[in-house]
Amino acid sequence: MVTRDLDRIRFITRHFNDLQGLSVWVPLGLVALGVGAPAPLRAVVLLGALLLTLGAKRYYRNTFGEVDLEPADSTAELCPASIFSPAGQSSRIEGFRQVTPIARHFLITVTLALVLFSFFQSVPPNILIQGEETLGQHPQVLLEPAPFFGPPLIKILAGGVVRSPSMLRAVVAQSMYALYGSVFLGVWFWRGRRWSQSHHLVLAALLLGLSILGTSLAYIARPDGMIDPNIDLILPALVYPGMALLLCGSSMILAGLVDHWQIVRALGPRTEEESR
Amino acid sequence: MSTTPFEQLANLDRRVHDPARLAILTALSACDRADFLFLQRITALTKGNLSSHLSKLEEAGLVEIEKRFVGKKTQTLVHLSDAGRHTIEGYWKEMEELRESAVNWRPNLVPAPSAG
Repeated sequence: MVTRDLDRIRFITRHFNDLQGLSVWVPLGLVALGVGAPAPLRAVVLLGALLLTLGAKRYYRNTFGEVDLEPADSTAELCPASIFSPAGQSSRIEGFRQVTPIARHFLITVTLALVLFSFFQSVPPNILIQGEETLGQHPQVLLEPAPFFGPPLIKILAGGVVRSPSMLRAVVAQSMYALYGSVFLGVWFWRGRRWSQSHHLVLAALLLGLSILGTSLAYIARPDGMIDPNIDLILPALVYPGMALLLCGSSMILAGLVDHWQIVRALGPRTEEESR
Repeated sequence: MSTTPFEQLANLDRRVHDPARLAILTALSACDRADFLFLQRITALTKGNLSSHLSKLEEAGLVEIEKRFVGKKTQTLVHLSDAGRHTIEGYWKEMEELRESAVNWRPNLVPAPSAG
């Protein structure tokens, strides 16, 4: 039994419930996809997500057992033991120490991301986006100030600036990237910034990157509205909420599948002895 | 009184130091309680081995075992007792002290008497 094994045991036990990707992340991803799907398909996808949640919970319970985490204990974490480590002196055992609670990780990360996002939204000059997602049109960026319209009250509440509906949709898409990216980043922090959990970091970087890229369109576009062909290629993903939902939902499903694979790999397949 | 790392090693709590029991206690220290199936999965022990180790830990007062019916099946739930939590924390402290003393330890070599 080496420290790595004990550390793995501790990690899997502490995160057993949230590593159950098929019952948490995959259904949430399906919900995100379902919201963006056409109406008849939406109900099917949402129902599928609900059934998957129930079925997956049963599967995990029957296959891998159950772990109860007390709310108070869920924040306690034992530092990695170094006694058997070849690195030896690099880490120290400090007994139980309180690490940042989950709420702190999530709320701070999400709040910070959204505050930064709002800031970046307000700094660049206003742009206008032409194109309709539902019609399958490729969007086009225009560096003209968006027309001011809407009731005066809305104008006052919005600080004097009312964006065009197309720009509002783009902001919604970029907000979704910021939100989902922050959630992935929060999960990565919450799981102790482990190498094995770097898929959450990669997804966070991808989604937050898309959010930043979307908010920077006014700087990237040339005065005639032309933008780099590579960015133009992913422009629909930056400004269309439906595409954003598709990407965010797919990211959640991917994260869930990797989590599920990790739990299966860590706890092994069901043996004949257990089946009896 | 200072002790050598070897003496410290010999004085480690054997109830905890056994690899299988250490794995069980480590898992239980990371949660409120876990069921038998999960402990079997995470420690990769057979049913018989796990039962045996759990019995020893229960006899030592380190874990508490409760059984309940879920449908027609019996579910065995295990959790660390207060003494068990205290013991595993103490064990890690001892291991850390042992690590430090092992790093600082130098053999007390007595020069061999010269011949002639």
